[in-house]
Parts: sequence; structure tokens; C-alpha cells
Amino acid sequence: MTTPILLIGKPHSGKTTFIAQLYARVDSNNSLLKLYKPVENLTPIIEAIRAIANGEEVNATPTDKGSFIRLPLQHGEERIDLDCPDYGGEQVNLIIENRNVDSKWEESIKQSMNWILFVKPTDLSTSYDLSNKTIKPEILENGDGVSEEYLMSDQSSFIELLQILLHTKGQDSHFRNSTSKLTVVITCWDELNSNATPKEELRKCLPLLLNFIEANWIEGRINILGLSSLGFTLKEKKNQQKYQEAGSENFGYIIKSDGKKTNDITELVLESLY
Amino acid sequence: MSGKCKLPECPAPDLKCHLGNEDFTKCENFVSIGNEKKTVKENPSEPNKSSLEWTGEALTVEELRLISSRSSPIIIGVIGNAGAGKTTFLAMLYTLLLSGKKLDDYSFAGTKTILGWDGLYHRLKFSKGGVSFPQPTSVSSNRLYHFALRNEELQLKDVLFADASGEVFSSWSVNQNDENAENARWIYSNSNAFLLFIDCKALLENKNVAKKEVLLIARRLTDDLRNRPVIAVWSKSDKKKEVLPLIKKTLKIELENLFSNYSEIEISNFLEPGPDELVHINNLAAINWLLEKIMVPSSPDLSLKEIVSDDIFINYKAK
Repeated sequence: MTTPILLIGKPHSGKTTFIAQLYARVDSNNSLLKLYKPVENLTPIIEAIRAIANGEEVNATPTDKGSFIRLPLQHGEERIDLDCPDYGGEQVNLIIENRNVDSKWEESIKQSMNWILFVKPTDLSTSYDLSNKTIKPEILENGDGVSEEYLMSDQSSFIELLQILLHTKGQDSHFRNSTSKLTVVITCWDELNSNATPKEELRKCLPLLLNFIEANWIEGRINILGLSSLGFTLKEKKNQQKYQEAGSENFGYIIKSDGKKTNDITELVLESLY
Repeated sequence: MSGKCKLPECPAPDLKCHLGNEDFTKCENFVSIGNEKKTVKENPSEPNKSSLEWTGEALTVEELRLISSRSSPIIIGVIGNAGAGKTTFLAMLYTLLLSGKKLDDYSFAGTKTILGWDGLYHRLKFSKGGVSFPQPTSVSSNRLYHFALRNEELQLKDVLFADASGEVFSSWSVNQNDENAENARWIYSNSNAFLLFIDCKALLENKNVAKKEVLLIARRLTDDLRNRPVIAVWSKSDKKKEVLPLIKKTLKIELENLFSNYSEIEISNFLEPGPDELVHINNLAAINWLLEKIMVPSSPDLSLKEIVSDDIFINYKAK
């Protein structure tokens, strides 16, 4: 019996870098996990694996590459399939925009009891509005009623995505979810320079999303983690050299829900299960 | 000409084009019925039909079954004259929730109208140095904005805010059976509680005339109110200190005399430097007060002050 984990994230939220680093770590037998069979098709991440091995940052995955990738992992006797139905992420945006879950996604959502959602705070748009800026009313009274083109706010968009996932799963909204576990992963943690816990960081950047999650999942089925797949920026020469010499699999870390750091990023998979 | 504007917030054709085009049919966003068919033909690759049962936009009365099929929703009627800030209040409510502010006894468990809410929030964002504000609500529309809330016992409570145009309330306040006031009548019959808007800017500029308009609506509200709670919301309260004291005082007293299950609050959309009450606290406080009153309906006090007879019925005399 195999446990499927569904990895979801918008474009450029760090999925490809994570999967490539996870693969490198598992492949080098340097973690709690191993592969129970070779990965069927490495095409989606092979460029990323090669780039990281050379100490280069991963080029952003074209968002329209809707390929599926599965890492067949094993922990002790347990087999775990880490599935990313759309590592480019554009399909996630389309689900929200077109309000349509295709049969492939529907199957993945229904089969998996463990969802991982990647959120990259440094990519969220910051806007100012009347609730957080002081301004004299006289200045605004002559406004012409024209606003910039409407784009759904990041926070509303994440909430709607989760509402669509819960609806597809058949969750009864009268009750909090106690079956499917949700792991929210704050990616590119090293860029935040934060000493806070991942939950505090999520509250800082997407507070209503956090409130929504806490109102819809029981405590034991929510996990909020921080992730730095690379560990530090690869823009600096000396860091690139570390990767070239020591191997990329030795870098990267996760921040657990209690704020403690661990250097084995494969633990993220286990954290999303138990 | 029949048709509609592509922008959901534009009141054309009911009212003027919000971009200021004298002839709204000349506006690039206006789609006449004939043109609309053509547009569909030209775009055969329109997005697939949604697999979801809700659109995310504010609900119409006909779509209410989406919510009523799972619970008996609480409806809060947002009542007041045109331009009093009813829709802007709702926009601020969602904006405050987005920023992490919470209701006292309820947590946010979702919404079936997130695109409706988010569109309102968009109108309070700064862009190009200004804020566009929600545009006047169309006379024909009765939009229902939804929140799913979970109380401390973790029970789900569906709450809907009914937002119609100020004009329909004015018509209704003058003539209960006005043919254009159907939306006001629907809101009045179906709401569990009311936010009654008092526009401080209108009171400042139009003095007694504006006061009379408020009282007309308030009087109509008492008609078949039963014990439904009403909170008077003094909107644009940053202007309240400039309103003539006599107008404020008499209006306050007259409203207190009209309602029993009643409170009042001052709100504003303009943040002052330092600790803020009008924007951050009072917007949510108005909803907190109504929810508290709705969930625990106040029952008449049946305790006896004095026993004058052996007959229990005689002891209950009119106060």
C-alpha cells in the first residue's frame, strides 16, 4: 500500500528546487527516505538537478509546463508517493480563475489524505489600502472612480483554492477537517531573516488564510513549516563553490512548527504525513 | 439600449457610467445585447464550464439556496440613503479581516462570495495615488455577501450581508409599496438584523433635510420590526464634529425613541495617526453587537416586581 502526498503551489513558489534537492538527498542515501524504484520520468527536474549540482540557482519553470512528477519514496516499510500534478503551477492558477477542477486533479485531490501547500512570502504582492494608511479625505474626494485592473488578491486566491480543494474532497463544511492533513510550507525561508516560528510568519503575511485554515482543520491535522531548499543564496561565488565541492544534497534545511531547525529536508515529507 | 457593463461594479445602464461617459453605450466596457452574442462567437475557446456550484461573486436572491441548503443563514440588512457608505462599510469589513482583524466570538471559516468581497477590497486599495471606492450600487441589484463563521462551540453559522442601492430605501421610506422598492421590501422581510446608516457628511451639508431622510427610513424600519436588532452607524464620522450639535442631539434622541433593541456606533474610512477606533475597532464592533443580539434574542423580562394577587395572570400588569 502506498500513501500519496499531493504537493500544490503556485508558479515560482519553490516546488522544482525542493523536488530537485529532495531527489539529490534521497539519491545519495543521506536521509531517512530512499527511493523504492527509480523515478519514471526525471525530465521535469533534470535541468534543475544539474544546475544545483553546479551551484547555480534553478531557472524558473515555465508555468505552462503542466507535467506531472512523482517521487516514489520509502520510509522504513512504508511507501510514499510524492505527487506534483503540475510542477509549473499554472494549472493551480487556472483552477482558481476558471473555477474548474479537471478529472486528473480531482483524482489526485480525492486520493490523497496529505496535502502540502507551498507559499513564498517574498513573492506576495503588498498593497496599501485605507485600513493601513492614513490619508486626508479631502485628497481622495475628487477621485474619478477609476481603479487599476482587478487582480484577485493573493490571500483571497489561496483561500478560494483551499475551498475548492475541500469541496472537491467532499468535506462537510459543518465540521472541521479531521482526515486530510494540510502542511503549509513557507518557502525561501532564508530570505526572510526570521527568528519567528513558521506559523508566526504565515500570520504576518497571510493572516486571514491562517484564520481560515484554523477554522477548517482540527489542530492535529495542520502543520506549518519553513523551508530553505538551498540553505542560502547561490548568487555568491563562495556559496556556489560549496555546492560544487560538497554536493548540493548536503545543504538546505527546514524549520519545524516549534521553530527548531533541521538540516534534512526530507523530513518535510514525514512531517506532512504524521 | 439594453445590455450591461463588463465591469460588475459599474451601475450602467441603471445609472450613469461610472467612468463618466455621458452615453454609456459609447463606453468600451458596455456590451449591448447584440454585441454580446458576437463576442461569444469570436471567443470559442472561452474557459470551460465551471465544475463548481458557486461563482464566487456576490449572490442574488435566487442563488441563496446555495447557503440555505446547508443552514438557515443569518441575514443582515444594510440600510441607508444613497452615498451613505453602505458598500464601503462592507469593503472595509473584508479589508480588516484580510489584515488579520477578527470578530469577537467567531472565526472566519470561508465565503462563497470571495470574488465579490475581494472586488470590494480592491476598491479600497491605493492605486495611482488615490482610492477608487466602491461605485454606487445599481438600483436593480440586491447583492448578498457571504461569510461562513465558526463559533466557539465550532458550529458553522452562515451570515449574509444584503446590499442594495440607497435609492430603493428612499423610495420605500416614502411609499412602502413603491414599485421600485422590491429590493428594500425583500431585505426588510428577510433580515435578522439591520445596520442603519447615518451619513455625517450629508448631515453637515444638508442639515435638517438629511436628518429627515434618515428619520423617514428609520420610521419605516419600525413598521414590522418586532424585536430585530438595529444598530445606527454614523458613517463618515471624521465629519461628525462639524455637524450642528442640535441636529446630532435631536436625531440621536429620536432614534433612541423609535427602537428598543438598539445601539449606535461611529465609523470612518479614514485612519487617524495613533490608536484607531473609528476605522479598525468600530467597523467590526458593529457586526459583533448585531451577532451577539441575533444569537441570544432578548426575551421580555417576565420576572415579577411585586405580587399583588394570588392570580398569576393579574400579577403581570402592563409596565
